[in-house]
Amino acid sequence: MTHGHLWDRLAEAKGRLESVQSKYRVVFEDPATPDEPAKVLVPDPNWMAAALEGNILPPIDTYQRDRDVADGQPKEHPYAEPIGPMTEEEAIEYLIMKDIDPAVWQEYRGNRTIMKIVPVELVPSDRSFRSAWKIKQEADERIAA
Amino acid sequence: MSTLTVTNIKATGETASRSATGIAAAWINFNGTGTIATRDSFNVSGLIDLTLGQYDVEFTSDMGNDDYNVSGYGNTYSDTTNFSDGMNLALANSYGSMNGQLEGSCSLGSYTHTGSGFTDSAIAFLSTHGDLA
Repeated sequence: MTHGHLWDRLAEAKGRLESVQSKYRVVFEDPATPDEPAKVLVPDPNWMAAALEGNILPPIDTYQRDRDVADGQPKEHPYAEPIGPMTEEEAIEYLIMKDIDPAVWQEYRGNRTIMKIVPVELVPSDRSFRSAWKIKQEADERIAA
Repeated sequence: MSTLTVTNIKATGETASRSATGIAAAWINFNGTGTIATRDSFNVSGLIDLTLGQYDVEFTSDMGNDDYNVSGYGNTYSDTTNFSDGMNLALANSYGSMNGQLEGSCSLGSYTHTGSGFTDSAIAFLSTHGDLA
């Protein structure tokens, strides 16, 4: 095994790569808790740099298999062979599958739109009514309070 | 990339050695209000803005179990010369939208000491120590 542990690759990349602030955010609602406000996933800039560079992050399916691993048991993703570079759009899709529950992006069958990838400028910076944010169901992609 | 494999490390001049696992496994410094964004981080894939003053930090390389140490701090002011009035972070709690302390993520809640509820942190820090998966 020549690729080592994921943490070691991240440490090496941290000293070598410039961080990349994504121009996207992922807005989503949990169908299990419809009364809760919409959540916003913010991609990490150092993670994004690693995703664009390639040969650092493991295949996404290793994270998905590790969801079923019991607490304290060995996991696959830290030791898996890294994948090549991604585009920013591919990296966002990877991140959705890694950090958002499959109940949102895979299993939901309702009519309501519960997840959107939006440009960062469409997420309100005024958080006065943050606890009431929902995804608008019209064509307009803005989040509504 | 070179990796030094050791169990303990000891600084020059120190008499005691310490565990190499004492190095932070993950850390983040982020702006938790307005347009939420990460200033800098390590071993973090994403930050989830759950609602007012509640956040989830997602790790790229998971912790080995859910008994790791977490420490953090938040401030409603965005500079380090002004401090909010006793605001504290309810770390690692499973409460409201927060999932709590898991192998792959850790929640962080910013709560006012007056009991008036959660509030955004303009500057927030979190770090974890412990075994990696």
